[in-house]
Amino acid sequence: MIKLTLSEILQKNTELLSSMNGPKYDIGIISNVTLSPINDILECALRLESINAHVELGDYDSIISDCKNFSQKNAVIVFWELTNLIADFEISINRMNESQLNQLIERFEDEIKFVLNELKDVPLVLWNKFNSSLNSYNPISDKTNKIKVSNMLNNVLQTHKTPNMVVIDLEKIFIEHGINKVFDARQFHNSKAPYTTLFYKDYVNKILPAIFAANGKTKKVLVLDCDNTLWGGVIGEDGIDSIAIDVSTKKGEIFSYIHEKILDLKDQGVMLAICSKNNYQDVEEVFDNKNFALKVSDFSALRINWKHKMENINSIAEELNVGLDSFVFLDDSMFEIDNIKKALPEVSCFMVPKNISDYPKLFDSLEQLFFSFGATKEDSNRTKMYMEESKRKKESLKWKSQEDYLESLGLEITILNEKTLTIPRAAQLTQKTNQFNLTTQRYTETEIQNFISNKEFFIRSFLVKDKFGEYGETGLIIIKKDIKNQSLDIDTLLMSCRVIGRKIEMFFIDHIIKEFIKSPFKTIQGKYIRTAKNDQVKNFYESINFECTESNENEKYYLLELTDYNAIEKKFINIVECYE
Amino acid sequence: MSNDLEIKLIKIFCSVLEIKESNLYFNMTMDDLEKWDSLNHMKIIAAIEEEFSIRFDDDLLEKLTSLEIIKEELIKLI
Repeated sequence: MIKLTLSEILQKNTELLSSMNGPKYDIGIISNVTLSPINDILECALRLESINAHVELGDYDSIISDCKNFSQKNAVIVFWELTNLIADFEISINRMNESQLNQLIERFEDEIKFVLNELKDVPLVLWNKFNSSLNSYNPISDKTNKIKVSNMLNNVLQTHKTPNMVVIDLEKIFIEHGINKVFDARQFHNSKAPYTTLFYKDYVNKILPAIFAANGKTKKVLVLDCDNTLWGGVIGEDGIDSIAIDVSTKKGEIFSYIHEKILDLKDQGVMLAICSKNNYQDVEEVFDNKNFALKVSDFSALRINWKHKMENINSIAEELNVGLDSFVFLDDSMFEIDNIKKALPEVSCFMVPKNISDYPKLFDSLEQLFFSFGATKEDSNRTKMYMEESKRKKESLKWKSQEDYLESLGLEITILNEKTLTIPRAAQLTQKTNQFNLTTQRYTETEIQNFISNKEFFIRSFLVKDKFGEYGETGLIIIKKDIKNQSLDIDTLLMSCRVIGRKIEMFFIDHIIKEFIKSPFKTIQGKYIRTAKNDQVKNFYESINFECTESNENEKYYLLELTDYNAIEKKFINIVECYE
Repeated sequence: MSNDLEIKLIKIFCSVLEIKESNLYFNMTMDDLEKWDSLNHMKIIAAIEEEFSIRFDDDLLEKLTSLEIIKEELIKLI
């Protein structure tokens, strides 16, 4: 993306528009400066990733009115530049006395709170921190009013930060490129347009992971090579005493730092896997060393053998039940990286830098890719759950039929209602579930809260456990009740891929339908909306005997008369309700 | 050289103003092209400066009101 010139971006963006299908993703940008062509650059970057983005720039210096107009957008970006906070800010700021300064801060404190409140229902708000770096170059200046205002307003922002909000530190971008490369004093003077094309491109690059996360496109798995990736040296040749694994050597210090970063990612919910051409015993010897920070149990899948890495990564994807486009692959060999790039283009590949001192910086950019909105309890348990999953898969070989196997699992599902379900988890399920998802509606915590308080909606989630462990809250249904017509409409029905293959969906929907059998409702409607990833559920409603009433290439509509419903036979599963 | 420069300039104008190359002539000015407004003028300048790795002086920015003038000033800078 950053490699295209502005002229190429503009052209590409126009071309891409006509090939876009899928739901529109509306972004609004509110600001007190001129930001064109950030809208074209952002649109193009998202359209290149198949997100049908439409970016609308607000009017110049109309933050207060634009935030109202943009409250229905899927995402809003806030550029509130200190240097243009009021007209002639740079001229007047240092002449202000204490009380004028406080008055100014107070006014903008109120404005910030107002905007935050207007934007509280927008699923994603990207808000740039106030910065005092534009139009200020003197490092020994004692004119501190500007810094004071910026600190005070940033405090307000941090204190009143809402959960839908990501605060972005532009100064990190200024530092990376140098202020003269990102700030155009000439265009600021001329048109109040402070930034260069280079800045917009990099800014867009840096915020993409947050927008991907809001679109359910986060990376989920980090696949790591071993030699010269997890430690310095080659274990099979150098031996355990000569490789760099901990802070006792200079090289090892860097790897120790990398180990901490890897564990941080794991705590965030990223699944780790190893894919290494090595003898298993050699690698095991490193993991058994007490000075090596990583343990075998930190990894959800291990492929330590001499097979092609492509084959191994494919089999990891299968074992973890995660699409290859959620994979990041890290290796020190150009050969392996090239092979994977060619064979599995969906996988994002990164090479360990030649200069090992650059390795921490690479990890910073990896962290950005794995961006997610605050880890939930399920995230940190995920590795444990996937280890349990592989035990289950082994177990499954012992049984003659799938039903035998399911019987042996001792499955129990607990249905949670609007009082007992976890709102952040329900929102996360809508945001992250791609495969078993009939309509792929993405909702924020606020929207889930609205469903719960609105009597016209019925919402249930479920917990799953079996004799190997717990999966947590892994399924959700949202039904809209049309009381006048005595009909129900399934708005959302989804299940996490962790629990696919156990017929849980059948028993769950059966239980939900039965809740309505003796109610005044007569019919229940369902729909399937096709996405690139939910092919596996395209015939779900047929399988539970809904009648298809209308279908086209991308959508199918269904109806079930509740009086016609035949309950399914309850086998190998225990269902309990937890409604208080 | 001049020809290569003209091709690049035309490409930039067409991509910013979303018009066909056949509708663009070198004697055109800001007044001839409806879409060449002040916002698109900034885009054109940014795209040209990026493409040729140059920078127009402050005073020039508002004088670059026709393709011919832009071409002349550009030749002085590269």
